[in-house]
Amino acid sequence: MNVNSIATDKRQLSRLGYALLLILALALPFLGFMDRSKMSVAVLAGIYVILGLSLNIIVGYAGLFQLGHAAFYGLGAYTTAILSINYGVPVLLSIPIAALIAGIAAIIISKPILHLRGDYLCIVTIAFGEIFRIAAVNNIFGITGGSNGLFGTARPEFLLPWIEPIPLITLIAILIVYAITVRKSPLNVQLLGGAAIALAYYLPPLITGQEPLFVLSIVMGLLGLLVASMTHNFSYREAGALWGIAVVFALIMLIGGGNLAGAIDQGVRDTFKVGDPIEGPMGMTFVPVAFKRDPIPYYYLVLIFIIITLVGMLRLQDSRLGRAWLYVREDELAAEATGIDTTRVKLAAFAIGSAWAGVAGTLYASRFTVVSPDSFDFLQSVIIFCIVVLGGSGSIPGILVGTLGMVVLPELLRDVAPTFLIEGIGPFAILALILAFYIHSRRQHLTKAALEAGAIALAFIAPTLLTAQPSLYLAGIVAALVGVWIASELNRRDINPIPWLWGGAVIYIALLTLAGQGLAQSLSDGIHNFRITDWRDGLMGAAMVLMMILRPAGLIPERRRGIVFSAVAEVGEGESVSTPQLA
Amino acid sequence: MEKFLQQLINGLTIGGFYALVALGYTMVYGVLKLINFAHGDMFMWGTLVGWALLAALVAPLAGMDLVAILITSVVVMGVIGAVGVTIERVAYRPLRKAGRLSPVISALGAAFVLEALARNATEARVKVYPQNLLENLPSIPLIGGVSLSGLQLLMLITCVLLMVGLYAFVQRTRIGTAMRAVSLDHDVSRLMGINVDQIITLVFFIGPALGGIGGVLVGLYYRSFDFTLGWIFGLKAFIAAILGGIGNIPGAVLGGFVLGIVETMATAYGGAGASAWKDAIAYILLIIILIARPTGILGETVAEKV
Amino acid sequence: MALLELQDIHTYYGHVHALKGISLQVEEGQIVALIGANGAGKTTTLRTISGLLRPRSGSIIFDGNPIHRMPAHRIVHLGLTHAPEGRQVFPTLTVQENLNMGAYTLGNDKEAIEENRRRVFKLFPRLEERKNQLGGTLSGGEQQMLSIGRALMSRPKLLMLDEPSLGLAPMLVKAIFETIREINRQGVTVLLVEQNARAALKLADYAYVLETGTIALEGPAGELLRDERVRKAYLGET
Repeated sequence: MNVNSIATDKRQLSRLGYALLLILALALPFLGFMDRSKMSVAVLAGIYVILGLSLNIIVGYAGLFQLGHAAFYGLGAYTTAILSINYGVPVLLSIPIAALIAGIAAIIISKPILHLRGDYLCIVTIAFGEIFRIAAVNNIFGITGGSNGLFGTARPEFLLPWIEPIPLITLIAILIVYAITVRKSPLNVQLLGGAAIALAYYLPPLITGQEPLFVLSIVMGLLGLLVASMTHNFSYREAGALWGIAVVFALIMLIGGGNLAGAIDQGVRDTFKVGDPIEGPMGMTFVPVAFKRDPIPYYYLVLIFIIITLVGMLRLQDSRLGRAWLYVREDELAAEATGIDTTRVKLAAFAIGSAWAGVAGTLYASRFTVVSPDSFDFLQSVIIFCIVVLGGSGSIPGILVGTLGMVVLPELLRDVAPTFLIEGIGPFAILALILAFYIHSRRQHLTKAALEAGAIALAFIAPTLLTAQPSLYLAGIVAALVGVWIASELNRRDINPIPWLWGGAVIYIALLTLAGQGLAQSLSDGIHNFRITDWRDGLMGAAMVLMMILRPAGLIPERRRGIVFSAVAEVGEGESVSTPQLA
Repeated sequence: MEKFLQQLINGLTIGGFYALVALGYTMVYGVLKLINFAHGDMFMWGTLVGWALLAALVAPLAGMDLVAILITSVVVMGVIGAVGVTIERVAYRPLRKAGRLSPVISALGAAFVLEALARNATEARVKVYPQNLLENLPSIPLIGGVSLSGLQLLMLITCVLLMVGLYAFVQRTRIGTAMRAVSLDHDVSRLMGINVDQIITLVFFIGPALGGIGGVLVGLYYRSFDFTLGWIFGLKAFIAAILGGIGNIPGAVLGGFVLGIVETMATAYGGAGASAWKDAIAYILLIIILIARPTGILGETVAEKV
Repeated sequence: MALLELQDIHTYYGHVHALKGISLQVEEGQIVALIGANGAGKTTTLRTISGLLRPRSGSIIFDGNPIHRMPAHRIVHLGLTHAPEGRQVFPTLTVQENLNMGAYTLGNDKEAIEENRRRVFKLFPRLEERKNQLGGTLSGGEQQMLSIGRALMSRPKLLMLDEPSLGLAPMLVKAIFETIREINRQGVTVLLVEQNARAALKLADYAYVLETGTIALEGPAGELLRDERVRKAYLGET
């Protein structure tokens, strides 16, 4: 197998991964465990994904420090809020304005400071972020509403063009895109697949006679399109798959289609505010549709923007500009020597990244309808920065993981009492996690590692077994972490840790068993009175330190693209012009 | 004129605090090229530990305020220094070779942990220093109605003594010279037989110890504090370090005093809205200086060695 | 027994296998030269010996002590110093302070430091004239003197010099090599890395030729100087 085909396989694989992720994302609101509050978290997370992706252009691609990203996010949010409240500009229309203002502000601000070295840039961006916040608090120009912020940003609204027969027009549009997608396949295969899409499209209203089911038709059409575009080579097999989907779908419609229609109709009326049709020019009719508080439409709006961002970023990565960023990041001097205007290139990264943060700001303002300085403070900048770096700077999957860790997890854990640490399988899961990390780090000496891990596990479990006090697991967690640390330190110094660990474990168990009653009581009190909101930032901070120590390059580091020319310099003696050889 | 002189004195006092905290930033930056974001919170912990100790010592040492403050300062220096050493060991040392981004995240994480601990230790309330400490120190009348309060004088003297002491240590002693050598080049320092890790540990003791004492002085001066003190004050002190030219000890002192005076003056003469914008002054000053002179007032003008 | 002995040393820079099994010996009292092209691994060898790099396998014995896992600063205490390539004096420390750093391992033993300083100033009178000047303001030759002088301040048993002639005028090169001989005469064993193979071989007692991380050839310096292959590849003769 040659290198090229491995690369395509990998690409194919990650394409499949993205496709599955997309399907999951599309279906998320309909999964059983998702309720309204979880959907709200999902919307928020989506906004942070966009923010992470936008900062990734600056930090990941161009390698510049930016710890004031929240200022541009806030700039976009304030722009939208002001335009909406004072001038009645619909929020979706304010997106380009918000992007423009954030982008221009970034150019003006960053131009004089781009030549600064990394750490200076870092502190100056923090300073700009703080100036923005202070300006907003002080109600600058009398338009920011001071520390309370601005209330009453409108929700997204749009005019849905209603051209009869709308289903047919949609189908034609889908088929045109389909034809472009599979244009390289034989004509009869194309026709076969197209027929399947068209059939599936018309099935629901045809079978049930219910017009609202055209919503499902559109979903089916898009699904067909997705299948067609995800495959590398559209052949009879794929066309057959489309037919299979169409048939299954027809069966579902036959059984339950009638009830669905009513549900869909009701659902649309619940989620959207649908106004009276407006007569437009040339006999067209427009239906005004506005969002309500329901998070689901926001979710899809944000999802659309994430997809746009992702596609745009992948394009950027492979463009001239993208390669220039890579060079600037790896070695600025060498990049300059090859004729890259480094200042312009860095400025472009700042402008594009900041403009896109402005777009995220618009989405924020329209979702929450309130903007206030607190939402764009330094902590937000740090969270966005961490989303990029924790996941692995420069890596797109890393940003998704980073958002899960920095936004979703804290939101979901908000009301969870940490009693799971001492109840049920909680403590064992934690022990397993710690040991797995440890054994992984010692995978070259598995037998020894198992013996060492055994001591740690015993120390973790035995006190509770002997005293029947589950709260002693808390002490066990600390003991296990200390044990792992001692073991790694001793290994580093070529001292066999096994006697130390087992000795330590015995002493620890004896101590806790004999004198653990009082400790157990206070630990138990502590854990039941623990309010996670008080410790949120602290836990986040501890996680940040821990993550960096364990995976300094992030969880899913970027696959290095291109040639890294600093590698030669690392060898120290440089490349030789001519290497003499003994004959 | 009187107002000006009075503000100058106030500015000098506050500048002294900035300078003390800035020294910690600049020393750590010197040896590790790392912005120690946790430094501001260590300073705040100095205020907190100082508050707790003074509250405990005021009654048994009634009438001996200076003794109480002296004991407090010494203990705070030890405790905060130890915290600094621990943070370096846990959060920074494993990342020495990990590139530029990871230590920044780790430093921010350490800062968050310290801040959350303080938030819970103070129950997120404003804490007040014992009220009548050093009240009977004489004021020193200067020209006109201007006077230098005994507290201010004491603080200025303390700051100046500590800074001169540090400068002498770094310039005159063998270990101090080694510290300067380490900040120039770790590998060459190793070849001299210098235990670089030990020097770094020492720096992470001295810097936070000075910051901790700064924390006690700030507590005594402003009388009250809360757990958010560390971030804002720390950031400004770091800006002071940059103003003077980071990595440079006299620079940090100069930057501290410049920032203290500019901030006080701008608030005093800036008109009605100025105090609301007080916190922004430092940032604006930073940006102006960096645009005009990217390496700070006393920074070397030569380009970085590539 | 040799003063310094390397056994099958393998060193990596990240994934680059820089030293592929180096074995060499330095006898007490000798000058041993390590010659080879750019990138052959000469500097890497010195950095591995002095502890700045850790070999992945193999052993290094200095004066009876295994030092291949010892941190760099402790190796200096055993009497092995290294004047690094490109001089690398501390630019913002004075000449005096640079020399004091060289004597760091002597602690506060003022007398010993003073005695060593006098010896160094005798070898390099120029340094005494400039003792209050900053290291970074010295000329290239003076910086080289300072670098060597600094490495002598702890009275080492073995002095490792990395490219002492690099970037110096021919007159100065000659003077520096003279001084190295003088240093050796005073009882300091020298391990010399040089690109200037001819000068190095003339000065040395024994020499090793390094090629892409392995020892390609070794022998008494005089023999190597006459060796056909060495003359062709390194002495520029046809």
